[in-house]
Order: sequence, then structure tokens, then C-alpha cells
Amino acid sequence: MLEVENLSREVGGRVLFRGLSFSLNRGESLAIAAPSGYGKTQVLRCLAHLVPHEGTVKLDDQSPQEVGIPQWRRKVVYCPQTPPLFRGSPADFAEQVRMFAVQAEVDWEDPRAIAAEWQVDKVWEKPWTTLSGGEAQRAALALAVATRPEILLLDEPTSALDHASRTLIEDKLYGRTMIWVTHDSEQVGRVASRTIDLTEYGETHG
Amino acid sequence: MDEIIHVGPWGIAGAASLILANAAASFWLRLGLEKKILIGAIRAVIQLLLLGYVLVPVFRLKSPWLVGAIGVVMVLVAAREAIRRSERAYKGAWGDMFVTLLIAASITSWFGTAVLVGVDPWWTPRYFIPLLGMLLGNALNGITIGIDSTLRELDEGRSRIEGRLALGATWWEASRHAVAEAVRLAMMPTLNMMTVVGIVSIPGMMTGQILGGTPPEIAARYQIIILFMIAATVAVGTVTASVITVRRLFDDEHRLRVERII
Repeated sequence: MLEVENLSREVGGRVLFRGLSFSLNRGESLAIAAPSGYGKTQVLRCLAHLVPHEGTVKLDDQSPQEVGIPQWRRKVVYCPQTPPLFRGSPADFAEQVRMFAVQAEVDWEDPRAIAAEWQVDKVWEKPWTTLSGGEAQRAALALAVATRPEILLLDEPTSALDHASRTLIEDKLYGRTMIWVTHDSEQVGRVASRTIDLTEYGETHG
Repeated sequence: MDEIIHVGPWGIAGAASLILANAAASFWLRLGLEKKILIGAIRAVIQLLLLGYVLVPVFRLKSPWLVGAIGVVMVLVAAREAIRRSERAYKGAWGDMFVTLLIAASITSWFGTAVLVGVDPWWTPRYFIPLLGMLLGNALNGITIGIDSTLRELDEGRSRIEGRLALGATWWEASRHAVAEAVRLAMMPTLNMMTVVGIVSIPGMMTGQILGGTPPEIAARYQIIILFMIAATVAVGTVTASVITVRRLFDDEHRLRVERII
């Protein structure tokens, strides 16, 4: 489904990773592991086509340019570790995203219902600035899941959550096509069928 | 009508002594602005006196080419100043803002002289140049606020914009709020001015006209025209400047390139 070939990313003249190749099948869940500084987050940002990079990424044999960049990002959704502090509430943000041209035809799940499953429906109408780290993380993820992306790119999606909330989220996401960046080796075992060790693609770290 | 009282060199020198108040404030509060105040004051005197003398032959010659050349120089300087005043800029901003100001100010200036005041020909320097200057001065402020506010949001609000991009927003969907906020900020001074004008404040141009001997009721009509022209120029200029700024900060693949900010 997703084919990555020779992916490289440079930041300020420093090569973070080079020659990263892998493929991801529908329904498969992949983990990316490496210590801090190897560019795990950057891999996800490249796949979401948010930053310049070298190499090719294809979804069902189509490049981001062929799919159309906004459409590509609708299908391959990147969830940052810390959701940005948008103005207004998660409900306001959901309404805004609903208006994006590429979301018009999509049959969404109800984000509020997912938020309820994850016990953050009570903050759905509260401003982002008043949400705790864990609440914001779950609210943002609930919205991302509701838009029915084909692939979820998750950057430490449960880093601010306790054990019980983490289990709720892992259960809900089970069976989806995903790439996880996580430090938690136990979580890797639970959620991923395969792991990529990014240290093998680094240059500066030897 | 009363005779116009001519201001002599001593009058100007006396007025210049008023700037000592600024110097005293700077000195007392250790603002470190003495040099800036001095240079600014000297520049203002020279530039304005020169303008007075330069405009005499220009007004007399009535050459459309000369008017055009002066207009272009004014727009060039205004564009450079607008960018210099902004905390952030991007490569090529000067050229973009030159075109923006040229379009925004010259269309309204033309409309003002040709249609509203009804001058024939429309570029008659006595009308066109002061009008253009007035509009440029105001549009410059608007454009500075426009670029500054837009770039600040793109820079400091990067994660918010990428949060929208990540869910399928186009470059415009992801950043239109930055343009809206910039335009709102930039239009505020003009809108505020419209509410107090004539009651609290008498605008500089109207003051100058009345002191220069124009009957107040005529000065008021000119002022009304100028006010609306300023409002329109600021709106057109700021919207254009903000949209161009946002567009320049994105590449053709809807990626925000904050490294383009300088």
C-alpha cells in the first residue's frame, strides 16, 4: 500500500537519515525506533509531505504529486506528539477541518463520539489552551481518526497518558494501517508487527 | 480672504527647537534615541524643504514623464521603508511590495484626481503628487503591519498551520486566518481615525490646507475624499501584501518554508 524508497532528510546540512526504504501493507502497523536525535519525527513529516526530502514515497503506486498534496495529507495523516494550541476548542477546530476542500466528500466518523470513548468529550467545547497535555493529545487524535485516513502517522501518541487511557487508545486503533514512533518498547510489542531501527540509516551517529 | 502669513527661516528654526522635548525625554529615560532624533529631524527638514523647491518646477513643467518618474521613486522608497520597519521579512519582499504599493496607490490616486476631483489631465502634478504621497504614507504603515503580523503568525504559529496542513488544508486554508488578522490590525488605525476625525482630531492635511489659506469648507471636502481614499488604499495594499507574503512562504507543494523568513 505504502512504498518508501531511498528516503533521505537533511536539516541544516546534517543528514538525519539516508536510504530508508520499506513498505507497509494495508492493516499493518509499523514502529520506528531509535534514540532521540535520529529524526524519527522527521520520517513521519516526510511521509506526510510536510518537509522537503529526497527519495520516493508512493501510496497505491501514486506519488504525492499525482494524488495532489492536500489529498495526500488527508489520506496519510500526521499526528504530532504535542497538538498545537489552536484558537477555540476541539469542536471549533473540527468544524474548521470539515470545511477543507479535500474533506468535503469524506464520510467522517463522529469525532466527539471517539472523544467520548477516550473520556475527553467533556473538554470538547473547552479552549485548547485550558486542556491538559493528555486531554489535548486525545482530542487531536480523536479528530484525526474521525477523518478516516488511510494511514495514521503517530508521533508518541500516548506519551502524556496514563496506563488506562493508553489501553483505550491502543484498542481503538487496533487493526488500522499505522506507523508509530514510540520510546516505549512494551508498546512496540503491543501495537506493531514490525520495527524499523532508524539508527541503521543515520550517518552522523555512526 | 486673509493674507497667507509666510513662515520664515526663524520660524522653522523655532519649530525645530520643539524637537528638544523628544531629546530631553530620550536623555532622561535613557532611551538612547538622541542620535536617531537628531538625524530624523535634520532629514525631515531637508527632505521637506527640498520637496517644496523640487515641486515648483515639476508643477510648472507639467510633464507626465516627470510625474511618473517621481511617482516611481516615491513608491520605491515607500516599499523599502515598509520592509525595513517590519521585524521579519523574506527574500524578494522589496520587489513584491513595490508592485503592491504601485498598484494600490496609483489606482486610487488616479481615481481621486480623474474621477473624484475631476482634474484634467488626471496626472496634473499639483494634485496627483500630494495625493500619491498621502496615500503612500498611509499604505506604507498598513503594509508594514501586514507583513509583520503575517510573518509573525507563520513563524510563531507554525505548528498551528502545519496542524491544518496535516489534515489536508491547502496553503490558503491553512493560513488565511493569518491574513485576516493582519488586515484587521492594519485597518484599525484608519477606522479609528474615521470615528474621531473632526471632533477630536483635525488631520494634518486639512490643518495644512487651512493654515495655507484654503477655506475650511473646501478643505473639509478634500479631507473626506482623502480619508476614504486612504481607507481603500490601506485595505487593498494590506490584503495584497499579506496574501503575497503567505504565498511566498509556501512552496508549490503546500509546504510551509519558515526558513525563507529573514
